[in-house]
This record gives sequence, structure tokens and C-alpha cells, in this order.
Amino acid sequence: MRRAHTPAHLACLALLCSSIAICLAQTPPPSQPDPTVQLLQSQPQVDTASPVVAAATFDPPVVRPGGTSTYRVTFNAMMDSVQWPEDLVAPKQLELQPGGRGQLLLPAGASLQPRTTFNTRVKATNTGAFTIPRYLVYVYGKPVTVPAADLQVVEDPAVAVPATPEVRLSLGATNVFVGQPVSARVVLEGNVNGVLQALAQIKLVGEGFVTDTTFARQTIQPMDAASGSLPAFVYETSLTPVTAGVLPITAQGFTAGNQFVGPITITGRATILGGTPLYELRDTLPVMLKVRTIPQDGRLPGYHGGIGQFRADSPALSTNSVQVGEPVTFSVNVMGSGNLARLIPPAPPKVEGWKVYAGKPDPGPAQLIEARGFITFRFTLVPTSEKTKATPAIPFSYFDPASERYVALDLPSLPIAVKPSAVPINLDDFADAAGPAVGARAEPKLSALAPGRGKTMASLQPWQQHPWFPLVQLAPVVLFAGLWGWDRRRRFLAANPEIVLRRRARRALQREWTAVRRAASVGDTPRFAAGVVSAFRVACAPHYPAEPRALVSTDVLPLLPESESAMHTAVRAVFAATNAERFAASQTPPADLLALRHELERARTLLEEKLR
Amino acid sequence: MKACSHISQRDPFVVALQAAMLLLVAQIGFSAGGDFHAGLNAYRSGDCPRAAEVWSKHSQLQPASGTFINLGLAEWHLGRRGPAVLAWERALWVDPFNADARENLRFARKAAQLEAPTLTWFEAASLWLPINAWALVAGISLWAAVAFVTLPRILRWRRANWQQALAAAGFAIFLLCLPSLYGINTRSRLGIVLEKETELRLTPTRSAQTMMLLPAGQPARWERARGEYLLIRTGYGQGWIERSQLGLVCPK
Repeated sequence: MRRAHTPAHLACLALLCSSIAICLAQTPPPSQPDPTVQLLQSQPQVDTASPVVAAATFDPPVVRPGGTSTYRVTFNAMMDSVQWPEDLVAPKQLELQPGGRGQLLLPAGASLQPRTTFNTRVKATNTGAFTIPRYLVYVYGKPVTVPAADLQVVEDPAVAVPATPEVRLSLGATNVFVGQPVSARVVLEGNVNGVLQALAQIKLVGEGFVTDTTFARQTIQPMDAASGSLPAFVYETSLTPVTAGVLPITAQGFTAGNQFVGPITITGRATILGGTPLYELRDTLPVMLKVRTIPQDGRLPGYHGGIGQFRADSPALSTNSVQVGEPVTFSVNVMGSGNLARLIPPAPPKVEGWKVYAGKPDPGPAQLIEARGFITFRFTLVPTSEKTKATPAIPFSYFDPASERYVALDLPSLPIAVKPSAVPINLDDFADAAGPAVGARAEPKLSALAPGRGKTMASLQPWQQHPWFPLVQLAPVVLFAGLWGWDRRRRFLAANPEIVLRRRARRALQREWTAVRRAASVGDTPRFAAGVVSAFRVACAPHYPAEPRALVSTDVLPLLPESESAMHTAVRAVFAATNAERFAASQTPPADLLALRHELERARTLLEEKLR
Repeated sequence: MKACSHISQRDPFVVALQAAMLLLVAQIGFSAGGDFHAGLNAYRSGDCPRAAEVWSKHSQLQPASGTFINLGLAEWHLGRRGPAVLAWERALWVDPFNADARENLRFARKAAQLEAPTLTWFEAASLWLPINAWALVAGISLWAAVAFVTLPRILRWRRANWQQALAAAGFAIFLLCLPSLYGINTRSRLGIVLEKETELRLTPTRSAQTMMLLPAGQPARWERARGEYLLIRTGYGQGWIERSQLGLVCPK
């Protein structure tokens, strides 16, 4: 059954065809290759596909007891791909010490073949034949067999083995300060026949220093040796220690036959080895460089890291007559020995009448500065007042490692005529020219020791986090509540004064009765009677109210129960005895009053209850 | 003579107790001062570990800004950046106007490339007075205001405008103190990472995934604790570290 093409189908087909046509029409032209990629592709490729082969030799293969030989293992592979073992398996009679390691790319047809060498310094003390057996080393992740190597240690070799010329490293100074440049000299002497070869890829190995290759130079020159004057290949460079301590430094390079890299100066007669270079890695014994930090004491203004011995030439001005606001250039040449090429101009001073802009470093390359022997500091000075008669002196100093002290080398001021400006100028435009403005934050530094304890606290925890803090906050509430209660009570007592009278009477009664008991205990009848009367008067006074001393027994008795006749009798007797004593001076109270003590005690209790 | 007789009439036990208390207070004060100067002597003779030990003990006995500054200097010279920064932060906690502590913190943070704690506005406001001064001012102002409102009623005084004004001022001062009090509470959760390369963990477990390594001296905020681990928030993110790896400015 045939399917009919609907208009929608036809429209889709047309759209698809037109899209394909547009895509074909818009196919971009072949893109231009990237120049960087082109450049990389034009370089010979490094051969990493060839089978890796290892070679191991002793150089020299025969030594006398106590002599040193170099165990050299070479791979035709990149150094980073070789998993070199930290410890080699060797006879106990051999002392092994790790030496240099390096990589060289040698042209091999259309490609470059890597050659990686690992040196181990071997010292033999006993005579005999020693073998470092074969072992496996992983290169590019695959095991590679390093063949065995033999070393003969004999007292008197049957065949004279020519001594391999050693590479030596010497430093210009071995006791220096951080930042002080030190010259380094790598020497490879020719053999006894006067034949020598060059070294390639020379480098200083170690930590804590920076090698300045801009000053490197190589020469061939005659040198005095035990067998007479021999030609030697000399490589000179400079290093700058950056950390304090004792730094072991070694040098290494590949023997390159007559293949010199860069310019070389040849002095005297020399026979240079011809043929294909062997490219053997040679390294030196370590040289110890003792590095100290520069002392902070005695540091002078204007010190910016200069180490050496310097002197300044006479400074010069671009002109000797300027207007206010017109810049003038102050330039001075500094010469001497040390880190001359790395000298930094001192910080511009901040002086009244001048705006001094920071000096710019000498634009010349370091080699040029070293070659010409001086560096130029240039400062731009702008006078801000016509009253100034001379340029400001600029503090400058350096550290002299020989005398181990700072030396001032201030750049002197120069006379100059400053005229008023012909046009009005805004001196604020020169702000911030001489360092940070007034009020700017200075560089932070550690403070000195605090001489005393300063402000103290009982605890680092704030008060509001202590458990007692809420309780303390309750204290004012308690105080306010107490004040409120006290005021209320005060007003209540003011409205009811009898309460106060009764309370006072009760206290007086208790006080008087204490005296009564004391008198009774010692048998003092007069005091006993007087005390009882006084107590009863005090206890009865609030009920009338009346003055206590005005009361008599007839005032007291109504307050006692009528049924207590014995009590009434006792009270009357006491009052009578007291009155008798008071108004008839010769009569003393009868002693049997004390017998009434019990009844009187009951009466006191009843009266006290009435006061409550 | 009168005073002597007055004392002699007191309970001997009370007198002995008071004397013992006085001796104890004097002993603590003398011991603290002696320790402080022993630390100074050790530091000046180059024995920084001994100085740090002495000042550390002394600061636990009696927190003092000078002790913390010196402790920080000793720790800094020993290469222990975390404890040094913590000591200077504590010096600022004790005395927020201490310029030396502030300068040392600036120096340490610049030298070690460390962050400073990010303070909220109420935490910054809490630095305007010593920490306990806020509680004192807030308490006095609140209760003074309450007193001026309630006492005239209680004591049935005639109401006066000056009482109303003082009450309003007291309430205003109290309200102004509240943000700072809250700021002190939040600042008390600030801490300093003590050890270098402290692992910030994803979970509070020993085998947790390490999200990043924090430098010594890094400020952090303590959020909550779980077992031996603390959940902290730093400028780098949130995670768990061991309790011993964070020193709180205000130890709990």
C-alpha cells in the first residue's frame, strides 16, 4: 500500500534539503595552522620510543686503595622518567656517595635522543675486585636492567691507567652574608698531554642560593699544575645566597669535546680534543658556603639591600635654575664591588620645600652595568617653595661585609636657584610623591615586651555569661520590693500608733523582767520589787494610755483576771513594799517578797500576752 | 586601741578565716607578679619555651593584657603562629584599646598571610568598651530607669520632669547597650586554629573526608560541638575540626 505524501511531509523534505545546501555552502575554508604549533612541529622530536638501554661504568675502572672512582649509569631516556633507587646494592668495602645527575639531548638523525646520567662517587679502601651487580630500574614504567660494573682496587696497577682530569669548584668567598654575591669558578684541566675538552650545561647544584648566569663567561687559559703548566677550561659565574646556614654546593657539566656553547676566550696554547664528544657527566666535590644573616643592629637610613663596597660619584642636576613646580633630575653614579648591578635606589626623603619622587632603577642590563662598573640613580625632584636654595640630601647606605658594618653613603645636596612659578600651580598634585602621606598606616611590626601585666580580669568569660549574673540582676528587684514593703509598713504604723506602743512596751517589759530575774537570783529584794513594779507599769501603760511612772497597783489589777486573787495579792504586796521603801526611807521591803515570784511571773505572762 | 579591742571581741574563727583569706589573696597576687617577671627574665635570656610556659600558666591564673602580649611574642618566636595569634586576640579581649596587641595582630596576619576575623556591626560596636563595662552600664542604666519610674510611685513622691527624663535616658542607654552585649556573646565564640595544616573535615569522624587544610592562626567561629569535634565556620567554609585544634578567645 503506497503512502501518500502530504504537504507537511513535502515541506519538511524541502527544509532539510535547504539546510544541507546552506551547510555545504558555508563550510569554512581550511584553518591556518597555529604558528606555535608549527614552531613546535618544526623542532626535532625527542626520541622516547626507542628501547631504553642502560650502561654502567666505573671511571676510572682501576684505582689505588683510598682512591675515588665515579660509578656512572647512563640511560637513553628522559631523566624524569627514570625511577632511580635511593640506595644502591654494592660491596661493603665500597663507600658510595650520591653525585651529580643530569640530562642531555643529543641529535640523532631527525630526532633528539635523550641521555640521562646518574653519578655515584665511590671510594675503595681495600684492595680487590669489586662488582656492583646488575639490578632493575624502572624507566617509563618498564623495568630496565642496569648491567654489572667492575672496579679493580690494586696497590700497583700492571697497566698504567691515565688519571681522568677532575672538575674543580672554587668560590670567591666561603664566609658571606645573605644577599652578598659570590663568584664561582668551575675548572676542568687538560690531561698530562695538554689535551683538554670543553664542558657543556654547567650548573651549580645545591639549595639556598641563586645562580646569576648573566655574568657567566668561559675561557681556556694555562694553569699551574703538578706536572707543569696545563691548559684548563674555566667557567666563571656568580651566585647569591638567599638563606643563612652552611650550604653545600657542587658543580656539574657534560664533557663536550670541541663543542663550545657561546663565546669563549682562549689564552695561551691548548690542544682541544677532536672527534665525537663523549658527553660524560662530571661533577665536583661539595664546597661548603657559610652564610650569615645581615645584622639588624646599626642599620642606617637609606639601606636598601646593598652589600659590598661602594662609592658615589659627584651628583649632577639637569639644571641649576627651576621654577616652583618644575621637575629637575638629580642623577648620581655609584660604583664599587658587590651587588652593584642589583642595587636599588634609596627611598626618597620627605623634606619641606621639595617633592622627591622615587628613584628609578638603572634601565641598563646587568651585564652592561657590570661591564661599565657603575650604576646610575636618577631622582625627580620638584621644588614646592621658592625659598629652597638647595636640593635635599638623600640618605643612602650599604653593608660592608669586610668590616661587617653599615656604611653611610648619603647623596649630598646641590645648590639650585628656585624661582616663583610664572603660572599658578596646585601643589596638591605632588601629593604622595615622597612615600606615604601623613596619617597613612605604617608597616606593622612586632611590639616590644610589655613591662607590666596591664589590665587584668578575674576571668576571660564576660559577666553576662556567669551563672551569678541573673542573680545580681535580681538584687534591685529585691531592693525595690523591700522599699515598697518598708514604706507600706511605715504608713500602716503611722495610722496605728498603738501597735508601736505595745511593741515598745513588750520590749521594755522583757528588758525589765530580765533585771528582775537577776535580782531574784542574788536575793536582792529591793531591786526585785522595784523591777517588778517598773515592769508592770511599762506593760500596763499602753492600755490607758498613760505615762508608766504615773501608774499604781489599782491601774494594774484591772488588767489581771479577777479570779486570780493570789496574783492580785502579790501585785499589791509588791507595790506596797515599793511605796513603803520610796516614801519611808528607813523601811526595807520584806524578804518574803521573793516567795511571790511565781505569782508575779504569771502576772507578767498575762500582761505580756495582752500586749500582743 | 579601740579597733584592736573590737577585733579581739570577735569570734576567733572568723578572725582566722579572714586572715587566711587575706593571705591567700596576697599570695595569689605575689605569685602572679613573680611569675610574670620570671617570664620576662626567661625571655630576655633567650629561653622562649620557658617564658611561654610561665606566661601561659600566669595567664590562666589571672588573665592580663600584658601577659597575653608577651605570651604571643614568645610563641611567635617559637614559630607557633596559632597560639601567638590567639594570645594577642585574648589581649584585645581583655583590653580592646591595647595598641600593641592590635599592631602585633596586624604584623602576624601580614607576615603569615592570614585573615582577620570578620566582625558584624554589633561585634565591632562591642569593641568600644571593655567587655564587662557593657554589662555594668546596661545594668546600671536599666535599673536606674526602673527606679526613676517606680520609686516615685512606691514612695509617693511628686512626679517631676527630671525623673521622667532620667528614666528615658536610662532606657535609651540600656537599649544601646543590647547590641554590644549580643556582640560580646557572639565574639566569645571566635577561635583561632592552633596547628598548621589543620584538616577541615566534612563530618565529625576520624575517617572523614578532608575538605581543606587550614593554616595556623586562621580565625573561625565555633558553631556547635559533637564529641571530640567542633563545627566551625571560617572564611573558607564550614566543617569539623578536633577540639584541641581550636583555641577559643573566651574559653568555655
